[in-house]
Amino acid sequence: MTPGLEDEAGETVQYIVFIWDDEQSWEQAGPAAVAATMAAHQRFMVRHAAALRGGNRLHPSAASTSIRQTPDGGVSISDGAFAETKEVIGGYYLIEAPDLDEALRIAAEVPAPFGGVEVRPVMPASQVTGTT
Amino acid sequence: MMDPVAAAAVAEAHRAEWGRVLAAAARLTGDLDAAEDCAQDAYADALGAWAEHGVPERPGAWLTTVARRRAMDLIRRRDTLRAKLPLLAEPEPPVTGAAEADTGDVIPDDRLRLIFTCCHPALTVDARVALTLRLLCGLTTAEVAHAFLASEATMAARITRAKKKIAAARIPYRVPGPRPAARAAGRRAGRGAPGLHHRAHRPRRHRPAAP
Repeated sequence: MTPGLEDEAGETVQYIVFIWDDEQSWEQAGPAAVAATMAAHQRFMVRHAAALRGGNRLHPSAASTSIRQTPDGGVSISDGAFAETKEVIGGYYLIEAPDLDEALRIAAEVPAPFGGVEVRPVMPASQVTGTT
Repeated sequence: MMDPVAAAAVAEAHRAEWGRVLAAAARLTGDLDAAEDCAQDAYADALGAWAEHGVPERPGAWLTTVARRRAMDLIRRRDTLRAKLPLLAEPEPPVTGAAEADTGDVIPDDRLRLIFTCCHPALTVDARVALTLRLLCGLTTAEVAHAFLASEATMAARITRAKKKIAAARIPYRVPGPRPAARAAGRRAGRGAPGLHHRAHRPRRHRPAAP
């Protein structure tokens, strides 16, 4: 049985909050803007310490290496992010919340001046083998 | 052989009460698919029971009670399944009136909660309308598809996807607060997610002796 709608159950769900950023804007932003954003993250983390379960800033996607499995059972390795998009994942938080409304309320406060965030529920280990 | 009077009464009750019966079951099951099964069972039971004993004075209440009882049975089975825990002494929640008893809501009708679930801003507008027509108005998937000029398969997939998101992302089943709640400490007030309905802060309720 999947969770959901369980208003009174007192259970929580973990959500990963991907921070999608336009890296070019980051590069063009001055050190002051970068410092201000990092300070905003510090404040965010203090404010939501109770809900935070983890999180990190990532190196730019130029440092990424992507691996795709090929039909013949091998792998192909390429330089850069997995998908060619203007925004790439620049960091993430792992949060725990009773429901999506609370998760969105927290995620809406994640500093992301050069993009936005995506909130995605983490599948509990008990469900991983299921089809959902 | 189907009793025509009972059949007509069930059909009428389906039209008039489906959303209420489903919403009451959803409150207990916490799962839309399971709630639909419970509501359908209640209507199926009504066909036989009403033919035998006559149509009850308040068909909606009769159906809601039966659907809730089904939901309670289902919860017990689910808990038994889920919990290979030591058996805890747990008083059986009363079936009738359970939903009213444990709520502090000002609006007693469960349908309103279900509307807010179906129309959550985290769902696409198409999915919101389709879910509301399907779940609250009791339209069949084929009828909803017809309204959207879409194929039944497309609509079934859309409804299934939306239900899966409600379950996986834990879209709440509740009536939101009267207006966007200012943050507790007043910091960054009003910086909520745009278009989101926030609930007012209130202490979480806990089911007594939750399994």
